[in-house]
Amino acid sequence: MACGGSEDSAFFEVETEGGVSGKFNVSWCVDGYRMPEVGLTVEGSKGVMRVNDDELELSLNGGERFRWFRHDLRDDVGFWLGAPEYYREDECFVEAVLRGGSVEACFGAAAKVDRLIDEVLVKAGRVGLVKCETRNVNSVKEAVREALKLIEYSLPKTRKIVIKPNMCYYWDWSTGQTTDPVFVAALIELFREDISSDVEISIVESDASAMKCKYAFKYLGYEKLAKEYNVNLVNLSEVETEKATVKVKDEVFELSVPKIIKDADLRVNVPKMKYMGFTKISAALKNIYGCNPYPKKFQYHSKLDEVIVALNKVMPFNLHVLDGLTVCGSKTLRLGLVMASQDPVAIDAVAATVMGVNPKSVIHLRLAEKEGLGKTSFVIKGVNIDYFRKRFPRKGLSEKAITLGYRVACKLGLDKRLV
Amino acid sequence: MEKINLGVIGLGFIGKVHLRNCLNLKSVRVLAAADASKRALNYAKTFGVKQLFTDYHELLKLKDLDAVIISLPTHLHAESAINAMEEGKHVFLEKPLARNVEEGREIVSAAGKNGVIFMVGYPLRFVPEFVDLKSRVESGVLGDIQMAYGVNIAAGPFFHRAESTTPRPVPEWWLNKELIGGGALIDLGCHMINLLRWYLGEVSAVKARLGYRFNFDFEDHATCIMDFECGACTVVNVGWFSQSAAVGVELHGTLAHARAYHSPSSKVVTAIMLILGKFFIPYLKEVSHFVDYIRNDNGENRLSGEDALRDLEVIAKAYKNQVE
Repeated sequence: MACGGSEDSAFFEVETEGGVSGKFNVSWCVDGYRMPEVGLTVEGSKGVMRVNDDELELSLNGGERFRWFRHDLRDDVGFWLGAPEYYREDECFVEAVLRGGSVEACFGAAAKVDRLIDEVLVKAGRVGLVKCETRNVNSVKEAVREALKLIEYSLPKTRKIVIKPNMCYYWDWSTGQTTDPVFVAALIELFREDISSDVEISIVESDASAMKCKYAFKYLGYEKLAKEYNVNLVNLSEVETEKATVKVKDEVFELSVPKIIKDADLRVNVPKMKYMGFTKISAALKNIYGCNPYPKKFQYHSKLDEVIVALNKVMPFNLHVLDGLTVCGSKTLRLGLVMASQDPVAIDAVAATVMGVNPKSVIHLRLAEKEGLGKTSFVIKGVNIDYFRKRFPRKGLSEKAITLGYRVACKLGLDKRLV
Repeated sequence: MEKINLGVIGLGFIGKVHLRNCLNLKSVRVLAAADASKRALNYAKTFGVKQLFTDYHELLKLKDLDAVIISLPTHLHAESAINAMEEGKHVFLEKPLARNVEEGREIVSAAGKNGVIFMVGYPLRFVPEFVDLKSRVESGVLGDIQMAYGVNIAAGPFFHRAESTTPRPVPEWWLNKELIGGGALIDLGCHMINLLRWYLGEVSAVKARLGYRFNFDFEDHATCIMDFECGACTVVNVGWFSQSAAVGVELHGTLAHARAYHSPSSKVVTAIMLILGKFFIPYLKEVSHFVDYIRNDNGENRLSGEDALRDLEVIAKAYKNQVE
């Protein structure tokens, strides 16, 4: 848990002026680690060197491999209390005082480290993770409130709020594929309590190739919710839009932006987290794909990654609150996760990590970062990510093989033989 | 005997299944297909069907045509089946017979008046597990059946259509109570009522409780309680709410009990079978039964229109006798 606003874990990348890049993954609350563990991997042009508390391994490109264990490295020191490195740093300090020379671990070096950490904290996307094991409006509302507090987000005084849940198909919330209406109800109550009781709230979705909004609202329980909470249900395929031109990866896209989204004071994205054949994962960035009012969205699938980023650029959402109460991975599971961030790329990077997917392997995440939508580096606030990572029903090899087989079959045109 | 010249009217999901099955039957020559959608007709063309019509009336004018398989939305059953019968074609019509008893009676009466063979598609009667159960009931090994339970729960109209490379929306008619004649009860209930009537005989009393999980004006699940003339009391649960299909029957007799469940293959196996042209075997068997019956004109019509009409009468009573 977060204490005094400090983070529990962080993932970030750095690059030196000389062009060397490095990835850091730090945490002080990983389950199962009783002692601190330090590991370093250095990849060079001639091979890879891995070092941890116990050994050093060197693998050369030619296939040669060397291993040295701690006792091989002449780790003897004059006095051993705790670990030898503590003796060495004390010894170094004393030697420097006695001889008046300079030391490597000087104040200047420490200041550089501090500056770097400050930069990471400024640049990395903050993501709040909260556990919510009970599926009811009050529990979810409190969980979201806590998640917002963790990322130090204060709800602005607004008049018009747009909420975009995930309604990809006629799949009940219990499948983990669509945003739970209870989750949205909790948000509505939260906004009315913390912003204003008369704030105007609209839940938006658009028609898709295989889904019609009018049925999705009904089937997924949003029509009932709208009546109960007196909020608007808006089919974005039927409202006034404005043309917008946006450039992504040197390609210009002309898209329609629904006026209701453009005019909203606060835009809240409420995605799910799930695997998706075309884009590896679907979370915050992909959910905005549903704000494209054009119904035959399937036509964009050949440039899906670029279009997802383009839509996020023309319709930036202020807040992303991910509904991970029930998730759909290799199977459906009640995960009880509530995640919040202002950074759609960071929240997606966390979602990918929970799902066992390397964020950097997700094309639209990389592209979004490049286009300035956010950072794949993240700082976790709240519950340790490993709690959810261990529980998430990840795809096994068989499921991955099926997905691959299906994609190959589609490439070969065999799907056209299906009824 | 010569091959039966057959036409397929309606190339939705089931229509395509029937088309592919007919192409696998040696006793059938598929002469033509009709569908309002050109995309659907292209599908038939891919499999070598030469005469394609966007208006099924044109198909019915083909003189060489002996029979038709009709897989149109329920509200078009009466009109299309009667038109085909008046053109002297034998008719295999998808279930449910019609959206109400009146339309059902008109179809059955037209079949008799025009002297054509008429069958309604009930593939569960050709599922080996259910056929085996029938033989156990008839052999007496279960004793006198006192209680029975039937279940047919699936996704219904909300069958996942988004993973295909060409996603398709749910057809509008399927979500329109007026066009289908009801909801899950008529759509799936007719299967189970037909099956239980096959085992137990006629229904003497029926009442139903309808459920609306998804807030539509039609029921997405229903429980039907039926008394049979033989004295058996049965419960049938049907629903359109689950991504996992369950179709089964349990019979409790004075000597023993037996259950039969039809488990669809996994998605992967189904997809491979579809690509290979090995279609849902019970569907193949029911069409094969229809064709054999036309060719031999003897034996038992296991899918008679009269039988389907009685199913519809039970369903109409169930809608009428609702309990809270």
